[in-house]
Amino acid sequence: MFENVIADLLRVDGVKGVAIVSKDGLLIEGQASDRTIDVESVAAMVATIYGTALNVSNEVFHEEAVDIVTLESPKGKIITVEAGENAVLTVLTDPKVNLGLVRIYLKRNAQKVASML
Amino acid sequence: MLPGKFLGVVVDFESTRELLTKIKRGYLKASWRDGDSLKTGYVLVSDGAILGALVEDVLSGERIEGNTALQKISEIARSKRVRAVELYEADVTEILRENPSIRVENGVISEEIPGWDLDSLLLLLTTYKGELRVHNGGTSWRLYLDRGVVKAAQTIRGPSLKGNKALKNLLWEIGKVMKDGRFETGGFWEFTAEDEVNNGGVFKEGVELLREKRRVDNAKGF
Repeated sequence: MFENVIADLLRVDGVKGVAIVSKDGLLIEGQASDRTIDVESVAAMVATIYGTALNVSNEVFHEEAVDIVTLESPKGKIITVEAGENAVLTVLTDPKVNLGLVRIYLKRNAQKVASML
Repeated sequence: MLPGKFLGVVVDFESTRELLTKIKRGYLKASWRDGDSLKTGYVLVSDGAILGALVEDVLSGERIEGNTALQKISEIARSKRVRAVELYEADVTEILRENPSIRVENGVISEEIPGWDLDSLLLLLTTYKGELRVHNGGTSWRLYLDRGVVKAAQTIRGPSLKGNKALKNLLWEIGKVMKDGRFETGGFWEFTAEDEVNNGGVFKEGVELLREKRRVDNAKGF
């Protein structure tokens, strides 16, 4: 059902994988252009990272809400946004991806996912 | 990817034709899985007419354009592999000027309408120009329609009939078509003089009457 969202994000230069994940860590739908990426495992880990980020935000800012969670490693980035009440949308990218562009596409497509769930 | 203003997502739609009427000028965008790959199809529409089509492979960037793309999208639509379609408002003329190879000739998305679904058939008849095939058991008819008016008719299975005789035969059997048959759009039939029909408006009138009759029968049931 989310093929349009996945296709939209995979077309962004530097994006290697896309996943729509329930907040409890189940992969709803995903696809990677790089066959070495195990989208299902990434989905479970992304949900954990997002949950931890929410807890941190709650502890530090007294606000249980996060706009965007970015994990940067020398070999790539994982960027995650909320997509409705029960899901997150995440992308795996090359290290030198255009972050501004990815954020725009992520936000836009997260709204689509939220409207469809 | 084509430029345009995002209008919304339609999920679990009944027919592609229903979607085409939702956009005045713009395009439909649908993506589907094809083996390990992902493809996106675009159908450019202006006032109910299909003017262009494009299929892109998301990973390899390979493109299919024009009528071949429309044929592929028709196949995918018929197989019901697409559950969500995005609608965009766009300057179709400008897109076609920049991508002339995606233009289609006599653009029709081939789709099937079950015989009982007279509402969808009548909706189709208001805008449709092209070939409509009618199938019922051992007989099939081929009609050339122009916005509700039958211009030509012939049988393509069963007794060999052309023109008025073919249309009369279809009207005679329309009750059975409604029960067990189906309608199928697509193709572009270049009919000859002997296939031409004199009073082609009678088909749509007949379907409208049958729909009314069914409504009355249903009301009586209560």
